[in-house]
Amino acid sequence: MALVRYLIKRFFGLLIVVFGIVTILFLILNLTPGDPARLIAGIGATEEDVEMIRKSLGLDKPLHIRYILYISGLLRLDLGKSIRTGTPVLHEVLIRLPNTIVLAVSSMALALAIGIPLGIVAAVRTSSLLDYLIITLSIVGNSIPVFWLGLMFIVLFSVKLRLLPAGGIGTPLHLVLPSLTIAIYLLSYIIRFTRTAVLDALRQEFVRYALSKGLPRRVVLYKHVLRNALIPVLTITGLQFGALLGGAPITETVFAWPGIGKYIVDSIFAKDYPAVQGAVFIFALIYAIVNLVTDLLYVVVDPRVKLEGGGMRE
Amino acid sequence: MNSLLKVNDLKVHYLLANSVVRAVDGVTFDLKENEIFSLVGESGSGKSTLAYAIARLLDSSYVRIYGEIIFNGINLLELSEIEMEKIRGNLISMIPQDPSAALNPAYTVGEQIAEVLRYKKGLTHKEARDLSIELMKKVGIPDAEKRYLNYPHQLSGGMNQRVVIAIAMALRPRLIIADEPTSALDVTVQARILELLTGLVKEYGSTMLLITHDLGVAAEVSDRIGVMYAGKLMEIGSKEEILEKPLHPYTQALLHVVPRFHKKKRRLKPIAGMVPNLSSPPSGCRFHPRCPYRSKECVLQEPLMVEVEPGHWVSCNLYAMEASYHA
Repeated sequence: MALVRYLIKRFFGLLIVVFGIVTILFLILNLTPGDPARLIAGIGATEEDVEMIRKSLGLDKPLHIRYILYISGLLRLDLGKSIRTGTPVLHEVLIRLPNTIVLAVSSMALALAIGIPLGIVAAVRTSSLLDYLIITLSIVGNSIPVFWLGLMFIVLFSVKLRLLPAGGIGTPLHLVLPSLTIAIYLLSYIIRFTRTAVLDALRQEFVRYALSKGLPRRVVLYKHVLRNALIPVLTITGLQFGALLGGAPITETVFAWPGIGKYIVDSIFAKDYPAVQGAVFIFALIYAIVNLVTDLLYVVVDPRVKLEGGGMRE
Repeated sequence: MNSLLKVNDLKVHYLLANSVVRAVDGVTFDLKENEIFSLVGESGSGKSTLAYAIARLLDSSYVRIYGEIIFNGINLLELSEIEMEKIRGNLISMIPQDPSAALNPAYTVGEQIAEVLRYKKGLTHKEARDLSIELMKKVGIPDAEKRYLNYPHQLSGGMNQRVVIAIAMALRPRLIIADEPTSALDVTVQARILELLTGLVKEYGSTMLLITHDLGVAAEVSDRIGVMYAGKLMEIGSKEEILEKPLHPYTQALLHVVPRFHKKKRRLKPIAGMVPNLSSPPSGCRFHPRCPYRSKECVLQEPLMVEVEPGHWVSCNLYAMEASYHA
């Protein structure tokens, strides 16, 4: 019952957050200079043409009316029609969503599979050469701009070695380079959070006590330390994963990956308001849901966490 | 009686950034089979360090241990970590100071008992579970089947204390090192836990090294008592000798700070001065700055441990002349 009450409260909180995001986004898009009608009409169009397009898009109405129309559309899950293609935005987003999910899952899985062991090793061998090496690696991974790394991968693996496709989707091979690019960026966070969390857990009294019971060091590390260290790692993973599900705009653009990120970027350049608004709305929704799931996972990992009211308590 | 544990000239030094803390500085004593020996001292006297040094649980990256710890004829300081792992739990177990911090918050108390039985004794999950519940009943945990599934934060301090006692007893070890086992508890609970602990030690034929700052607790349960001050043993003797005929001025001072209600009204006398800083301990006798009987000799010369009566040892210049010298 506590869980149901908690979920209901969190659901309303989620609605408020999404509503806020949508409102801010609407204002930003509509108050920035630039006229989609003129963009669509093209160079050399007459004032009448532009006015007609503006009218057909509903852009002739005042801001607050457009806002009300937009919100009431959202409530009916009508995200409007793309200015560029005329197709429903929801449809456009939904056909791209699986691509984004596949990329998010594979790059996060890769980052966790490499990052957690490296973080543990760095913590256990703290201040050793290996530790410094891993930390350096993580800083480097975080400092390299994603677009540059992506391009370098294309140069090396696609152009020079001709091993992997440079972009697009289709086979699992297409997934390798974009996943790797995102994973390297994520790795730095995963490594550093794991390292700090393991170091922190190692200092706890229960570690020495577990050793005093004569448990093998390996058991103490993988059972007693890791379970407790997992909590902060879970937080960063949840946040990063939520962000990834909104698409990785740069990586998707570099690798021509038809995901939500690339769709948003393209739509911004085309001043395709409904498309941007719709895609970001879906993104905000997913992000909020992933956060909620992360919070629920805490209860599984840490028995001290109790679900209470709108928040959690230790 | 045979000695189960012999500690010879043990030194434990913490290497800090710009100093060396001599937490234990040349301590010699032994534990006879089946006895309860209390190590009494103020906080910072090095008694807990000594306890963890015996179990080899100090972080070797900044701790140096010198001397000998002979357990059952083996010098523990010469064992590898793997060999030590086999001794811990099986032959030497520890009861921690604050069980609520020592138990892992992420696992049920039952699992934390059962894992010992599985990893150390090779029991199956079911066997370990059944035996754990039996142990929990034995240490007086009501509703053991239900409590088995509780997490440490769901139990009281006293119940958690019973859990760690169950863990310590699980493999019937020869030596139990209890580090302030009751100091985190209410006074009323303290007495019951002490009774339980000493009862089990006797029943299982174990030997216990009890670390405490509370002379009252030591008086309650021990056969013999050692008094520690600033990393050194000041006096060792039977419980009666220490309580009735304390020789060392520090022991005498300690007895004055224990309230005794059956004696005639007397003000408690706090010991003047401070516990010394162990990175630069006082010269000569460590207690001399606070000692009412100090002489010039005490400032200059460190007293030797002498046996004033059979089994009653003291390290004080007042008695150095009276008895034969022991190194």
